[in-house]
Amino acid sequence: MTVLRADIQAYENARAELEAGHVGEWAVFYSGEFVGVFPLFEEAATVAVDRFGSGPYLIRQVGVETIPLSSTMVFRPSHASSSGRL
Amino acid sequence: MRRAQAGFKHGTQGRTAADLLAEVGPTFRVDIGLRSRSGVGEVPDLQKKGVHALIDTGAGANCIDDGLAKSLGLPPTEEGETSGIHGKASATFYLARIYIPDLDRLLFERFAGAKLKEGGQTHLVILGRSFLRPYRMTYDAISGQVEIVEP
Repeated sequence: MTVLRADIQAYENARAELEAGHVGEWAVFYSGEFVGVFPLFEEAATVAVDRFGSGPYLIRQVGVETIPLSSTMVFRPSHASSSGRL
Repeated sequence: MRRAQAGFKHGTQGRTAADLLAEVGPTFRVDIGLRSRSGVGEVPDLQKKGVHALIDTGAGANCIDDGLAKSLGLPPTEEGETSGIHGKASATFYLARIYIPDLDRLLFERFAGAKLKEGGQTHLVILGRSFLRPYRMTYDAISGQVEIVEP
């Protein structure tokens, strides 16, 4: 795993700015570079596929720290400080 | 009003439809890929067809078998860690288009990678409560039939 290491690091570098103005929106990073932020996931994904094909690319919802997968399991996105342990 | 069956009308190999529903669970066959090979307005033509998908009301998110996602070249779009009753594990989300022919519905979203085949699962896709939001589902365990209706 960690194919998204560079993108996750880039997200961390931009995190404060993103959370200041785009909480809930979807940020796209590719090859360690910021691509854009979009109000809907489908918009972000369409841009990513059209421009970068099969990626990989990071599409992360700004400000979301956990994603419930089931009543007994949650997902926590990696941050640059923890991605080395994955 | 669109209707589809995710249960079983008949039994097989000595098992009734009710037996199959209890053992296998509500199931759709779905098609999976990143890009459709058909044009706008046409029925989606995706790379992998007829994959068994479990309708799972216990699942909050939709999932795809991790190995299947990699074999189809689906792009990883998020990485992180799951935590639950079995402890912690690394996880990846993949972007995919999944088409459910019985409902004529196309999903274009991220799916949590899960080791379904490795765990001996028949289904390689799990569709959870987020998928079911537009529908009314009737689960008849006695007959083995599960009807999903889009009002």
